[in-house]
Amino acid sequence: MIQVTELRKQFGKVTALDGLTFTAPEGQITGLLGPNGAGKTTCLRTIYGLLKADSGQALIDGIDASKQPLEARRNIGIFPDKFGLYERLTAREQVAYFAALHGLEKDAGQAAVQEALERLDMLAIADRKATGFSQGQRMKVALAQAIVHRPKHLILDEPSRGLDVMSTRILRDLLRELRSQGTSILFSSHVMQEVAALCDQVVVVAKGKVAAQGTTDELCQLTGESALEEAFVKIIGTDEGIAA
Amino acid sequence: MNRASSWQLMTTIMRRDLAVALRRRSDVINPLLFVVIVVTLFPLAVGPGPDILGRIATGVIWVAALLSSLLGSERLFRDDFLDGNLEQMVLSPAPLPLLAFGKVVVHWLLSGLPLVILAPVCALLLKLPFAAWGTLMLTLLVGTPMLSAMTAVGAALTVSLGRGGALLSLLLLPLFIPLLIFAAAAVESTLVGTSAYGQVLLLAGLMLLTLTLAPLAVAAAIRVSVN
Repeated sequence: MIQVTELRKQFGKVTALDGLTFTAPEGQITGLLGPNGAGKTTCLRTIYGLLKADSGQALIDGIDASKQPLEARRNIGIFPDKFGLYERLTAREQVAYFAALHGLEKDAGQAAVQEALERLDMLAIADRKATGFSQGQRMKVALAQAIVHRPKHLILDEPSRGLDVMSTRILRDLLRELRSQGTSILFSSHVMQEVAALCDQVVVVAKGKVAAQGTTDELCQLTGESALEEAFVKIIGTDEGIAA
Repeated sequence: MNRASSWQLMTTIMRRDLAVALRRRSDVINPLLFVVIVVTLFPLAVGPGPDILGRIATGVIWVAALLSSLLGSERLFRDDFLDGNLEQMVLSPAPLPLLAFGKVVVHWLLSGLPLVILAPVCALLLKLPFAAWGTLMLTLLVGTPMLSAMTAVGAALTVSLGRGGALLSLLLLPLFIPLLIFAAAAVESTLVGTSAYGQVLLLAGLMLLTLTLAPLAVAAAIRVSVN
């Protein structure tokens, strides 16, 4: 379970997080939905311990990533907002490196890598060097890196950017499958269809605060709209003014 | 999920770094080529008198080594920082100082060690008396790890600055001066027939100190840069 309580973070005069509180339970997909600059990435970065919050805490199974980063990272798979691939390594080598960092080496490592590559349908590009990979292919490598060690928690920052239709479907199936295995999944997005199609719970974030929280249907009921997009606009609008 | 031991983590990052570096050979060869070029140009410029060349040989080789280590230093973390790999390194489930140490070791294997091996050739070109070759190689062997470690600290500190190159050199050169003085003194003592034991031991001590503290400093600097 990922638990975020009263998270606050200030960058100079800009308040990125302003008392953000929510939980992402096990076996569920939680979507962080918010306009650009709402604090989604800052929130995720704080959860996996890249940023230190000014106050409040983010716990992954009761472990604070800013205090015990190694223990926390052992159980989470991270798909960061910015990631790099070594152009001169093949996709398989990059994923194997992450597997090895998690202690999966030799046969166990090879099997884990093979499984992750198969799961993401990328065997065709597995042994090609990353030079010349398309955005979508790079995303897949990063996704494979995030899931290769079968983490208990998965934190994804806009995982479907740059993916084509087929790859998005593979990603959705993968997330659903991981959910059925008890993984807690937290991802940020600003694509309504994706959130509506996947999430058990939607957390609408605006200006560093939770503007609304619930299932897609609950959010629609709350606002009296039939589509999530309208509900979203209304939620953001009532709290922040349409200009936000 | 099993836990990887520190040694496994070290070898993992070293294998990866070596693989990356060896597929980009020019980056490895360029600094070495620089040393060889400087060393071959000196006899042409100073003239072939054996006494002059022999006397300045240590200095020339060491200065060339220092400058060559500055040459590629900016790139040590720059590419990783720009494409986000550095951030992923911070996020990897391994102690950051350990990863930093692995990087320093690989840097030394590719820049310092070849220099030690190349030293006899340079010594021959500059007519350094044969008696001092051993000491020269020894000073390079204990001195170059320090170059790699300190370069890594400087590179990590300046990585988030847009054009940190000049600043990096300014930052590092003062730190290199003791190294230069003791290395030159060691070879000098051998040349005049006394023991170079003291200077070499001192350099070795400094090397151990640097190698112990540098990974921690690199890790701290990277954390600051990423934030």
